[in-house]
Formats: sequence, C-alpha cells, structure tokens
Amino acid sequence: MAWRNRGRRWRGGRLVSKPKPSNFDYRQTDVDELLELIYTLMESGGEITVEKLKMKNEQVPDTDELLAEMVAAGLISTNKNVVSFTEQGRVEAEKLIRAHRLAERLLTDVLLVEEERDIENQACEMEHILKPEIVDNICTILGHPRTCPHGHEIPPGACCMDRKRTAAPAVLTLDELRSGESGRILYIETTDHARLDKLTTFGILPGTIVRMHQRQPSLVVLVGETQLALDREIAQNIHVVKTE
Amino acid sequence: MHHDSHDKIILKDVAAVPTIALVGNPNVGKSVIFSLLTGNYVTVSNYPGTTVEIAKGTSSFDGGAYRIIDTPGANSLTPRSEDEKVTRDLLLSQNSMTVVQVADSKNLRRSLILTSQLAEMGMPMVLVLNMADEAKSAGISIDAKKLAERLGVPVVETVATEKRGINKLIASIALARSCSFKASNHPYIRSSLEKITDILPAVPVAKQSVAAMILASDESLHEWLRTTCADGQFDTIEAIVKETQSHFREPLGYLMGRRRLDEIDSLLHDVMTTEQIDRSSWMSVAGNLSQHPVFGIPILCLVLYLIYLFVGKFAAGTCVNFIEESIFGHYINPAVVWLVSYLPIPLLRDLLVGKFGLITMGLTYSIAIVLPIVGFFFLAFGILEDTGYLPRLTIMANKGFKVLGMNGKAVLPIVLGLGCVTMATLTTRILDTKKERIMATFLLALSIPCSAQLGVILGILGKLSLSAFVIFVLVILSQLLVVGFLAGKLVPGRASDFIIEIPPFRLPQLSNVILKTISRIEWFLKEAVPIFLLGTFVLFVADKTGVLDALVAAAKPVVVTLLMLPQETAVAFVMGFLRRDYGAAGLYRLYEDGLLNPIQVIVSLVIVTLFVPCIANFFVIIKEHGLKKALAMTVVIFPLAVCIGAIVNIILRMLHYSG
Repeated sequence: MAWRNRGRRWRGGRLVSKPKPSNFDYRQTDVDELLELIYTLMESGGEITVEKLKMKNEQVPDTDELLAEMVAAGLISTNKNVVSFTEQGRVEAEKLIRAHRLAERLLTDVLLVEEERDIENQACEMEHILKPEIVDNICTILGHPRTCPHGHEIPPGACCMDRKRTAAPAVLTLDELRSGESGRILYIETTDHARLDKLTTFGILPGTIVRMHQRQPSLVVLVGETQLALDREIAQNIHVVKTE
Repeated sequence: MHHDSHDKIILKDVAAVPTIALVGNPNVGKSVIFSLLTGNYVTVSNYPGTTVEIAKGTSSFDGGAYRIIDTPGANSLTPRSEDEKVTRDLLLSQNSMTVVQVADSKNLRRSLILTSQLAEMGMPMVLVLNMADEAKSAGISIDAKKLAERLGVPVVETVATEKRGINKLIASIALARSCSFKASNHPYIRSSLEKITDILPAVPVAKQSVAAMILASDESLHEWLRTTCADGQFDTIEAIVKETQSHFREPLGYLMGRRRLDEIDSLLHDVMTTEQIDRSSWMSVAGNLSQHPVFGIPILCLVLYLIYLFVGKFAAGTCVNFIEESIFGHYINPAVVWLVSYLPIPLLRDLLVGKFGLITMGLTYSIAIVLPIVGFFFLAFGILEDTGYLPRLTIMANKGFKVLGMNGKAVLPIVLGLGCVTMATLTTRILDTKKERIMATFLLALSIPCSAQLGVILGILGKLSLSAFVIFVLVILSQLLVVGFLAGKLVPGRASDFIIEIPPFRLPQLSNVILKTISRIEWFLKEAVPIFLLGTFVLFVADKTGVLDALVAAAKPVVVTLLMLPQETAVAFVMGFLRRDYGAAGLYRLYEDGLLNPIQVIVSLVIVTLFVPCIANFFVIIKEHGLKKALAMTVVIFPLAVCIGAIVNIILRMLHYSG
C-alpha cells in the first residue's frame, strides 16, 4: 500500500515499523490531523461532507488526494459526498484524540501551563509522538480523567476499563482516598455551575487540602475545621494528589 | 420577635434608624449575638439553617437607638438557596447599614470569602471572630490585630455563648468602616465588570458588587434586572456576560472565586497559625459514633427509645396522671362543677363543664394532658438540637433520601417537623431545588407528627406497650418511604447536590436548652391553648345544633365499617382539623375511658398522624407554595390517610395483634 511506504505521513498512535527519524517533522501529519478533524466534527453532530472538510482544512491544499489515500488505507469510506469512519479509522482517531486531550490535562493541571496557546501547541505535538502505552500511563497518573479542560470527552483506553494500576496513580479522585488520608485538590472536573459555586463557597478549590473522615454511609471530608458530608458523585469530580 | 415576610421586591431603601445587620456563614452564632444585643430570644440550635427568616430587634448603646437584624446564614452572596437569597436581598435593599459579620474562628478561610464579597458592597463593617475558645483548643491562633490592619475594619474576638467580648463588639460598631480587602480579577473580567457597572442603574450598594454577582451568573438577579434596566440594557449586560465567558473555559463565578480564595490564602498565611493538636475528645468520639456506618443505627434506636421513655413513660405516664387525675380530676374540675352549678342557665353550665365544656374539655386537654407532655418533649428535643446530633442524621439518611428524589439535607426540615411542622415548612427553604421543597413540604404535611401530637401519641403508646410504639414508628417510616418514592416520581424536577456542613458535636448548653424550652412552652400557651378553647367551643355549638351528630353519622361508614373504630373517634378526627395534637388528645381520652382496643389505638393514631395539616400549617403552605398546591396536597392527603389506616387495620387483625 502506497501510503504505508511513505511512513512519515501517518504515525499517530500506532507503532511505526521503522525507527522514528530523529528530525521528526510533526507538520507532516496531515492524515492524523484530518482524522482528528473528522472525529471532532462528528462529536458536534451532523453529516460530514467532503466540502465541509475542505472548508475546515483550508491550509492543506490536497485534501482530495489525502481522502483518497485514507479510503485506500481503509480508514474512511465515502458514500457520494458523505465521509464516515471505518472501524479501523475510528480506532485510530480515538487514539489521537485521547492522546491530545490527555496531554492538555497534563499540561494544564499538573504542569500548570497557563497560556492557552502553549497548551494547544504542545498538545498538538505530543499527540503524534506518544506511544499508546505511555498515553495509558499518563491517563493513569492523571487518575483516568473523563474530560479535557474544555469539557470534551476523552475516549477511554484499556487502562480506564479495568482501572489497573500499572503506574502508581499520582492523581486520585477524592472518593478514592481512604479514611484518614489527605489530598491536595488539583482540579475539579465539572461543568455544572451550581456545583462549582457550592464547592467554591465551602472553600473546595484547587490547592485546598481535604481529609477523608469517613466513607460510609456517606462521604464525610474535613476541609480545615469544617466537616462536610457530600455525594460520592461530587467527590468523583474532584481530583487530588495524596499528601503526607 | 417580628418575622418579616420574604418579599420579592428588593433594592429599595427603607432604613430610617441606624441599622446593624448580623451576617455570616450558617451556624456561626449570629442568633446568639442577636439575642445578646437585643434581649430578644430567637431560636438557637447547633445546625445550619435554624434561622430562615429575618428577625428584627432594637437595642440602644452609645446613647443611640439601633435596629438590629438577624439574617439567615449565607455561605455566599451569590445565592443558591432561598434562605441565602433572603440575606442577599436584605443587604442589597438598604443603604446606611452597618454589617457585623460573624465568623467561626475555626473556619476563618471560609468566612473571609463572605468578607471579601461584603467588601465589594462597600458598607461599613465589623468582623467578629466568634467561638474563639473552640479555635484555640483546635490549635488555631489568629492575630486579630494584624487581621484588622489588613482588612481595614475592626476585628473582635468573642465567645458569644459565654457573653465574652460582647462589650468590645458594641464599642467597635462606632468604628466600623468599609473593608479594603478586595480580590483582584483577571484583567479581562475586570474590564467586563467596569462595562456592566457603567450600565447599571443606581443601587444602594457599590455597583461593582452587583456587577460581580451578575458576572458570576446569579440568576436570582435576572428578574430585578429586567424591571430596573431600561430597554436594551438588560440584553447588553447579558451579551457582555456571554462574551466574557467565551474567553474562558471555566465558569466566571468559579474563576472569580478562585482568585478570591488565592488572596485569602495568602492573607491567612500572615495572620493565622495552626498547631497540630490531638483532639480526640469525648465529644468528637460521640459525634463520630453517631454518624458511624455500623453504630449509627443502634444509636438512633437508642435515642428514640430514650425519648419514648422520657416523654411516653415519664411525662405522659407519671406527670399527666398526677396533673390530670389528682389536680384536675380531684380538685379543679369538681370545684368548677360545684361553682358552675350555681349558674342559672343550663346551656351556660354545659358550655363550661359539659361534655364539650371549655373547662372540662378545652382546658383539661391543653393544660392537663398536652402541656406536660409537650413541655418534656421540647426539653428532649432542645437537648438533641444543641448537641448537633440532628445534622448527623443527614449522613445516615442521604442514600435513602436519594431514592425519594431528594438528598440527605431534606432530613433536617423533616426531623425539625417533629418540633413544629409549621416552622419546619419554613425551614424547607434551605433546600436548593423546587422539587425538594415541594416534596419536603408534602411529606411534612402528611406524615410528620408535630411535637404536641407526638407527645400525646407517645403518651398513649407508653401506656399501651413498647411493641405498639415500634409498630407505629415502622408504619409511619414505611409509608414515608413508599409515598415519598411515588411522589418523587410524580413531582417534576431534580434533586440538588448533597453538600452539607456537619457542625461539631457539643455538650448541650443547659441555659440555652432551658431558655428554648421555656420560649416554646410560652408559644404553646399563647397559640395552642386559645385554639383548644375555640375548638371546644365549635364542637359545643356543633353538638348542640346536631351538626356533630350528623357529621359522626356521615363518617360512620368510613370510621366504623372500614376502619372498625368506635364512632366517637370521628369527633377526634374533626378536632384534628383544628390542631393535630387536639385530635390526639381526644384519642387519649377515648383510650383512657377504655373505648379503644390496641389495634384501634394504632389505627386511629396512624390516621390522626397522617391526617390533613393543621390550620397554621395550611396557611404556611399557601404562603410558600400558593393556594393551588396547598389544596392539592390536602386533597391527596385525606384519602391517603384513610387508606393507610385501613391497610394497617387489616394487617394487624390478620396477625391477631393484642398489644
């Protein structure tokens, strides 16, 4: 297959048979980018047509050519003008999206990068070079987050399904703390305004140290001297690093 | 004490006398300080949400008169529940007001969130660090002087329950000034705040603070905005909010809150030190046990059993026997009968000492039967309220209430209903969603017996047997679950998040418990006794005119045939319309006279418990939810009560229950 021999055009997420060239040029990842574009367009719903892709993918002149290559590679299929994933294509796109969004989480919450542009650029580069096993390790360290900082869903990997602890997770959700353990809040993963508001007024914000007091019949945590009882579901939104 | 109705009109100036508002997080001791400043007693308890309405009083010091306002506890001035809204609306509605912010010294961080919001409003304020003793024993020391410098307002340390520091507080009120502690915002948010501030119409507080509330997506302000803003301005503001939000991925309120807390943390770093102290005191052990997954339930049963012993056995048995039989039976009633026999008109004689006599029935019921029972129940309940046991029940019950479509927080109004269903209906304001409020109101009206009624019920069951008491509790609890579950499916809406503060477990304070019991007994005498007398009079008239007989005859198919109760119980049910405890007292008399067998006792008590809400409660439901909902609830409750009574009757008869 022609596209496979080019070797440099599509390497996201999957093992490359040849060793990586040292002067890896991430701009040559048109197929990856197009896969991601189709995936995000699908998330927002509606039909994906060749015209739509061309419009959104202006900077790459040879979209038609690329699409043809992708069809040949069995990544996508086109019916008249409508583009859709094949099973293989969907899997590959998910891998890329997963790597990208996990990278965003890593950069925002752990590495504390503040500039939105830096986060985006770095994540765009990282998605192409991270091996799937390493992506899973990042996911585990971050405590298997379900959404990226923008609130989009992160496709779950094998590590999320069985929650197996290959890498020691540095980030836990609050409800995973055992009673007596404390954790510092790293980030809160919810888009529910009312919930965030309430947590804010109780002083539960990134940086706050929370101690698990009891886990049954409801979670009770200590924030400073305040004892708070709260739903497990809310605690699952709160990601912490263990202290002590 | 004067309760203000909770008006929707906000932002208008009504202050004439200098006003001092007590503001603070829930359960920090605002009401204690209010009582100390004004001399008025308001209910004080150890759980958040005791005060749900504004209380006003006056006080004079420094040679001038002041109006003092006690407000419901608020964690934030961007309200998420009705009681927080009451406080925020009050703050927005008056200028020339001094704010005394009461803070829990143990939880200074959380209190300062409110401080910085008050600072934005710009009114003169004083910060009170209450419970200074508890903070000290928790190893927290606060440099009040430094804190005062940094905030730019007087800071006073107090232990309000021991009256310590109150004079200093009074002296500092004259020195109140607006707080200089303001959180900085992201430059983009700051410019949006300025834009909104320019558009806003005049308000009694700093416009900047209202702008901040709007940006933090405070929907409770929308109605006000729409009415006060000129055409198009509202839309402009909305557009600014939307545009600003589009620049950030996190909600603006959250971002502003984070900035606020960052600044608070750096302030705390300078003024507060915490020492690790091992604090496994007896009280904290007791508190932990009462919310323990294994020991919590037996402790709950023990608490119920102790109340049963105290109120059912001791108060209703020993005390009522003495007062009713000895004092009323042997002395008062015979004496009155003898005196009245000199009255020339037989009708008047009947009115006073007849079957439905004001003295032989009205006064005997209220003073001889209900008062002692209720008095002791108030005492027991007051002790429970003071320990902080009640909010711990929310931990135990959260999962169960989730099934009902509410959350554990709803336990509070429901348990408080055991005190007074009418007051508890107001407490439903602490619940966040409309669904939860309606459901709690409904369940309160249906299945929670109020203190007086519960007392009398305990009295009857105490004389009968412990097994009858257990059956009664089980019937009420299981129907609460079943009806609650069904109502949860029918009432639209969703449950809110369950986050509730659990106050520390404390040894009950004797003086507060006694004061509270006395004030409740006073309330009972003022409110219940006249209704007992009025009710007796109504019954008397109905009896003489034959209406009562007709009513009893009409109820006969239900009461006698379906429920297999003696037809006199119909009279007790009619009495229950007026006040539930009045109906229960009627049953008490019937039982004493040997007219009810054990099954009939349980069935009639279940019905009188579930029966239509009393008149006072009915009016509060109208006030909170409107006439339509109040009527709908009553229409549902009436047949429901009869049905459940019938079911209990059938089951107990099948089991050949004999007491």
